[in-house]
Amino acid sequence: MFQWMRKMRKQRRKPWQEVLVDEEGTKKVSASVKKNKQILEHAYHACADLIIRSFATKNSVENNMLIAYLGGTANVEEINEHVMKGLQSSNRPLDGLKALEQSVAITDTKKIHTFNDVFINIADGKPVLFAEGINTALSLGMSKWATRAVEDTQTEPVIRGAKEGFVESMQVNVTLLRKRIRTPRLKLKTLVIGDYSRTQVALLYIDGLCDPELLKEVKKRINGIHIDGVWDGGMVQEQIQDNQRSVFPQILTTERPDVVCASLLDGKCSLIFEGSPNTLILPTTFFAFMQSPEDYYVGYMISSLLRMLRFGFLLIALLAPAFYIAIVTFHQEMIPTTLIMAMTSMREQVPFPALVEALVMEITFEGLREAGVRLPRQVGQAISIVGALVIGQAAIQASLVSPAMVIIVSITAIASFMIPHYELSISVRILRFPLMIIAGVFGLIGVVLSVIAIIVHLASLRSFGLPYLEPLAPFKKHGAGDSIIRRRLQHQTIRPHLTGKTWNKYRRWKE
Amino acid sequence: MIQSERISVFQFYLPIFVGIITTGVLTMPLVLYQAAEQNLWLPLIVGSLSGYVAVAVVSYLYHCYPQQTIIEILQQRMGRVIGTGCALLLILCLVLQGVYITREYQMYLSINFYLYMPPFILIGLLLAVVLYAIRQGIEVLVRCAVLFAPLILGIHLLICILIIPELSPYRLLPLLDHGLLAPLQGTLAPIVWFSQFIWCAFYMPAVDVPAKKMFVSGCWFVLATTVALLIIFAVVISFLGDATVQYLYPFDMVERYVQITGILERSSVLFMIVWLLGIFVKVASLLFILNLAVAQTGRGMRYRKTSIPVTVVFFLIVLALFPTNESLQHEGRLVLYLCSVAGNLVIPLLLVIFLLIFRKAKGKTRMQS
Repeated sequence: MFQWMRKMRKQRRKPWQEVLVDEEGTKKVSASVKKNKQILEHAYHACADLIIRSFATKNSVENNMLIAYLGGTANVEEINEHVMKGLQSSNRPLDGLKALEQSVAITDTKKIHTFNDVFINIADGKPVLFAEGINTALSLGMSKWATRAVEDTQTEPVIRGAKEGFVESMQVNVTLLRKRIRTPRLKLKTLVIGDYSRTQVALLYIDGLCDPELLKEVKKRINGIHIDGVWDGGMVQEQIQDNQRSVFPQILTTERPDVVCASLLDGKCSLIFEGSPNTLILPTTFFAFMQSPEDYYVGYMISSLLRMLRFGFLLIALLAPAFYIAIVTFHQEMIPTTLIMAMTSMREQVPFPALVEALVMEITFEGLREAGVRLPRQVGQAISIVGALVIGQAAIQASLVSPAMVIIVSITAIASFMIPHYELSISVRILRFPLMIIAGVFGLIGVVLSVIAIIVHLASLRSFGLPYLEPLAPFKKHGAGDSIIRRRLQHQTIRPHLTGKTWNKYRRWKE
Repeated sequence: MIQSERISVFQFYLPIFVGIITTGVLTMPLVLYQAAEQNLWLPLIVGSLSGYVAVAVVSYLYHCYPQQTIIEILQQRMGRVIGTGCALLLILCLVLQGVYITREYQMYLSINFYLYMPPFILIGLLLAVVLYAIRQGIEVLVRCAVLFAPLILGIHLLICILIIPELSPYRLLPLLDHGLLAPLQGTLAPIVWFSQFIWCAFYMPAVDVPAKKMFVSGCWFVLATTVALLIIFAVVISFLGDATVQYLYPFDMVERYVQITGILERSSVLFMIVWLLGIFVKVASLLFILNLAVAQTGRGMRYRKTSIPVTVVFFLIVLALFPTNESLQHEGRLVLYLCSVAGNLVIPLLLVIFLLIFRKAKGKTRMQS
């Protein structure tokens, strides 16, 4: 029956329509400037920001040249300096494409034959130049977009290591990577997503390290996306990851160029989106979410200890409230006698069962957290003061919650902030609530069996074919040195084997 | 589906190893001590021979038909009627063993931790998680075993180390005070436990190694199981001595007497948690092979489609049999011994003998022609 329903749903889906290839787009660039101008004006009618300028070269009487660009996206000074001035004062006759190309003092030029390409180039901010008698247009690489300067990352700060993070321009982001990996083997392919937005996506990989099958699969999945517009990698991530119904992220998101570079050298590939500072790294394992780039910059001892600490706090973030509920409700014998006396006297005042108490506090905390993110920075302070009062002192004095519960909630909060990557901490936050309810109903056995179910789920996940718990389950000897602990870099000589047959086994500097 | 998944030979034996350790530690000391007192190491070592036999059977079957499970071999080589009959017998044995193991889990929890929780909830919770796990396939199952094994072994080792101050090893003496034969009366229990290595024959196509390597690493696993159990039993006896017979779960007692700091003395719940991981691996692997056996016996059935009905029927059978601890310890154990010997040793050995004769005859005819 389910198959039948699925079939029905498939039939109802409307076929995707190519949007940009409309009537004008299919036309070829004509040899007549006048005709080209008409087509442009027709396509861009009611677009006040399009600048079309016809002009004549020195030895022509009529207007035999045409330049078109979107105001604000192209570098006007350079157009005036290198294109207009040169063409208007040039004595050479423009009797062919080659002559036209030579008379424009610009390195990045591209020949265009159809209007579809003309529209794409104009949208990219590249001025397009038409000439009388030549049925090919010339796009001039002189785009100049307004972007933020490269700044510190706000979301993934480190104490030691590079501070700069990606910005909203793909070109700048790629430069940040090229600055770090200076080999021509760093390859870049551009894909386009979004029927209206035509967002450019750069697929980066290192030739010889990355599995070609993986690249093929990534391209296939991206080409399968049909969406109006893409404004962030997250919109694509949701649609290309293997298990789309899982709470766990199967693609790593980062704002840091050094993280991307390290992953590229591991044989992974990366997606950079025009207009978003968040890049995707794939395939990814669970342990990548528990690692901070700083782990490799400080000593191996402290980073191993910190990693273990993080895993401990991951368990606390997931299980602390559930354990508290289970122990207080079912397993009082676990608590030492003096402590249980103290706890009973604390809980005496509270009219609710432990489950309700914990749920109320956790939900309040989640509310505070969400409010803190959305509020403008000036008001954010106020929320934290009010929150501290609400969650802390006042709730206890009103005997709505016991002091022990406040401790549990605060430890959980601290623990959830210890997870280096935000996406994983979201998964933990989501799973915490069902676990609390199960703990209240079935006690510890319910919690343990739920954790087993979560682990089964994690073990069943794959990220582009790579098992999610890779270096530990299935166990890989060389990979395990960089999972819960970090071995010294001298000993990490073997590159992880991700997918497919391509496996450049030894890291170059070992040879 | 089993052919499309790949596991290593280490992962191949690991779930069975984990399962034997988990359940063996809990229930075997009492049974063995009743029969052999402080000489229980002897029946254990003798009984572990059945483990080598099981591994040899698995390796031989794998050597002959690497792309088939034992059920498929039975059906295709022994003829339709006899083969299906044997397969059904195997399935019955598996079900009854599974019933015993699941009831054992429920009794342990009911007696020690959840006096008032109805058994069907305890069993149902476990089987629900197991159902979810077996639907993911053997790869996921062994990955879980790989993750849990260090935890399970670690906690046992930790308990053994922490209890050292309380031990008095002279309780292991005198050696063989009733002669050699008297302790051997208790050999049946280890035979039953070690024969469970035959369960690997139900998912053979998932591995891809030479049969010899499979046999050798299987032997190492049997040896590791024996050594681990020996160490733990030695600790149990040198801690409890004659009092071992007094407790249903002697190792649980050992663990309760561990003293390090105040709060960790109450660690029996933590032990229960880790023990649950082990019992999960055991029940999941058993239900997985049961499911696969059912799907393969009824030809054309799909593994994923049978998983829910098989688990539900299994759940109902578990609820119907051995409702009290008393019946579990007597009738239940009898059924377990019978089913294990018949299902894990007799039928597979008969199959191997049949195959030996069959292949020899076939080879001869080929040579003659």
